[in-house]
Amino acid sequence: MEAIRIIQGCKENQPWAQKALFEQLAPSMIMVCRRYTGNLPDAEEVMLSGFMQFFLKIHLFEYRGEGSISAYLRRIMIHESLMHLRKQPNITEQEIEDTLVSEEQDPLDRLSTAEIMELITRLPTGYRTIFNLYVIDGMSHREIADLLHIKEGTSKSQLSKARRLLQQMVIKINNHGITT
Amino acid sequence: MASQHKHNSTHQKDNQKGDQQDPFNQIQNTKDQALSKRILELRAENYDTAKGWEKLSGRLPVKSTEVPVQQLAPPSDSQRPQQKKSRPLLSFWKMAVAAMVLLAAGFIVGRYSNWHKTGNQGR
Repeated sequence: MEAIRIIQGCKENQPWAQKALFEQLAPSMIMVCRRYTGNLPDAEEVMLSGFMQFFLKIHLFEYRGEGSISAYLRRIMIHESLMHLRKQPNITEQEIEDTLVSEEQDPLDRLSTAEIMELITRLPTGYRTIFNLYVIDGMSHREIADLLHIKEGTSKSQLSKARRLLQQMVIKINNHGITT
Repeated sequence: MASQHKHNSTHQKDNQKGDQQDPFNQIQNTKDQALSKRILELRAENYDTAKGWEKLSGRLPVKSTEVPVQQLAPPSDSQRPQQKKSRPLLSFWKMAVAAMVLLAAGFIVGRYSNWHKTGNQGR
């Protein structure tokens, strides 16, 4: 079905359009939320809340091609995920000790996308949030600092530690295999 | 596509301002973009959208087409408070007008009876 028709239907509060949009985009949006929350049950709650916000404030959305819907929804999902994480204490504080890992080659290159996703969800909340915002969702350190009310330097150092921890996790997987 | 473009531009801003103009960081940015693209393409294909929709639809407000039917129906309890707000004001004006009419009527009757009495005495 045409995206513009679905959006028009959603703007008219038509359940068939809302359902069509949900069925089309929920599988990718739940992955966005899972990247931030780190687990599936919380991710689903956050995603449903994000869709609610989207449908309630759809009059603010301006259709600019098919990609604009998922981009707009993704921003809502990130916002909802951060709201969810704010309820948890100390999201940006250092949660693990630093360890030195060689930076000569990126061990992430050897893993599948699903495996990398799994590792991202296993990062401590603070590292995971900054890694997601910077690396995956393409925000600058300044934007992250404004969003999380932290210093730009804190964002940079947390990102660096997140990268090192990820590399460390990959090395462990290579030595012992992935454990669930 | 748009998000990927944003990804490039925001990180370029960071690079211009900061200490990241060295080749290592350029390589890192390219790797980040590739990783971002891979991750953003991920979909939870096993996610039960029917169950999800069932949960979501229960929380969504009722379809807007039901509004005209409600408008045709007699005013509901939720609409009554608005009418109650205007009622005290309206009754105040009604009372004021009624009082003025009564006063005027009393004045005219009084004047007439007075004129009638004095008129009779004069004769």
